[in-house]
Amino acid sequence: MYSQIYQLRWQDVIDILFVSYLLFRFYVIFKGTHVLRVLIAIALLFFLQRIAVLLGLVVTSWAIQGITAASALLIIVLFTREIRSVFQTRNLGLLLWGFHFKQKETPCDIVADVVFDFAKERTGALIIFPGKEDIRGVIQKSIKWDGKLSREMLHTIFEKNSPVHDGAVIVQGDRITDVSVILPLSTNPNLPNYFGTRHRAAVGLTEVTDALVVVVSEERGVVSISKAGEITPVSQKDVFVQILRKHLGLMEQEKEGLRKARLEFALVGLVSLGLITGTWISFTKGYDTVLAYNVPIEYTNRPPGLEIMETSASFVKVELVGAGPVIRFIKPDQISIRVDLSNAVSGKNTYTITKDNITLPPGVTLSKVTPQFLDVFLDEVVEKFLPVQVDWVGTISKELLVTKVDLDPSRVRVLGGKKVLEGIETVYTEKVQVEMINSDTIITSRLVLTPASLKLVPGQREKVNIEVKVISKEDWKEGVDTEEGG
Amino acid sequence: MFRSMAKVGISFVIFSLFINPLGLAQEEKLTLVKAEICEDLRQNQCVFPSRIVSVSVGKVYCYSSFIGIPKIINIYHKWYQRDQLIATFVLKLRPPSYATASSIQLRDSDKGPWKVEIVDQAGRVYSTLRFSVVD
Repeated sequence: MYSQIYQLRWQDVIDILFVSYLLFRFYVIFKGTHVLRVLIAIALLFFLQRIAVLLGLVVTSWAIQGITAASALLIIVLFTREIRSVFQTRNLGLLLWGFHFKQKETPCDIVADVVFDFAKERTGALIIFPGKEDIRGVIQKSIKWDGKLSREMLHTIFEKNSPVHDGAVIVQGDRITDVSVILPLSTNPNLPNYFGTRHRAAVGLTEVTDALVVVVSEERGVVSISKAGEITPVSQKDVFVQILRKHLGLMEQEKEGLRKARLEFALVGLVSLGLITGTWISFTKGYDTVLAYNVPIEYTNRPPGLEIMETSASFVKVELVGAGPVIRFIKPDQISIRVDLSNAVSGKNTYTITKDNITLPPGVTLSKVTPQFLDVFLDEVVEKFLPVQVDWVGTISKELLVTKVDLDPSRVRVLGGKKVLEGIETVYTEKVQVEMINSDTIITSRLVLTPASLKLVPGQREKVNIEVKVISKEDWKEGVDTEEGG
Repeated sequence: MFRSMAKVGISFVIFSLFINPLGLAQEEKLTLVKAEICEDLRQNQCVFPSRIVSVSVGKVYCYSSFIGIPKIINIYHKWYQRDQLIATFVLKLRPPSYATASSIQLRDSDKGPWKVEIVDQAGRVYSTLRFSVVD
């Protein structure tokens, strides 16, 4: 495994990070939906299958693979709506990198709106927000309500004609738990005389508990807050909300929630990274796959005036070692072998094929090269004017004499290596069937240049016309002289 | 009379220049007058000359005939198969003219293009005869 990490390519890092991010985004986008649960189940199946493969459980791995594939299809069919809603989002940023922190409408805003409405309307109200201490032992009487806190609900309760408008309500979380709550009255003699029963009840509760009580004066239309036996009028809504939120600990809760969400996402990010890294390792496990490629040799920096006449090999067999998936994705054109001929001389040049000659794709190492040595024969290019001769094959009629074979052209100019051309005195045609000759005729044939390094000088014809004249042996015997040809 | 002699003299000079422009003495020059590849040789004459010879004839000849031979000299018949020298025959030429020939036995492996170079001692090529051995 360590060797795998040592041989980690930059492509692998991108690969792991990209897929990890995809996985992380899947979590972020589908968080809270059933899709995520099914995806997690599929991921678990996938890992089970990998484990089964590692353990050599052939049938198990095959079965899990089938189930995983079917599940992936099912998820598309069953959750079409959810998937569509995600991909139809107009906010691309939210889809690709945004985070979805769910904002809940705080009841404090609703309470503030309602109590200040009450103040305007001169509707009396008494709302209790318990602290950490239990107030059950202090309140004298109440009616169980347990309704969701809303503007309408509060208006309904404190409506003058409502049978439960007299007394206080208890709010816990976003619910009104009790109505018509009777509180103990304060006996504090320092309270102003204009404080009525509501204010005294509020102070009475806060004197003995850590609760916060909101009082709306019916006579004066003033909103007051009582806490710890003190009562303070509040004229501004935002100040009211701030005091209430502080009492309920919502500010800390929000910060805490955000912190928790960030921690969760960080954790999911790390888990995604871990999972994908694990998957990558399981895929690339066994850095021992060997594959051989036959790679053509490229020659560079050939000295001017010299031509390659012959090489001991045209291809080099290259054996590469690497992780299976990496090796299998290599295309032959990603491997190249270059031999630098800048120091080559006329004649035989021997080169050793080393790593420096071979360009490999990243992630694989060179294991073996065959052949290790390469002979390259170079020669000075010269021109030679050579006669052409027909290469006849086949069976000639025993009664015929070929008295004349004239070629057009009878000589051609050939380019090639000086040493090669030294041993060549004739250019032959391709094989011409002698059976074609029954009488005087003209045949066209192509020239064959051997070795292949030879070339005709540009402008020279590649085909020759062969004019053949024949005579029967009988006629010759009768004294017909033959003509001599080229 | 003198005028007649002068006319004859001038005419002789003009005629002499016409047949020998530099007025130098002529030397005899070795010349190849006939060279052929033949299927047979009879009475020192080429029989069935041909540029394509069947391996079934068993033997092939290179016939050459020279004139202007100043003294006894050697000439060479060099036989090549596909530019590969197979055999060299040294043949004597006797003055003033002489015909001579060389030959090789044909085997199955001899099929293909051949040439025979007729060369003198100095390496001068008098003729190159190209022929093929086929089935």
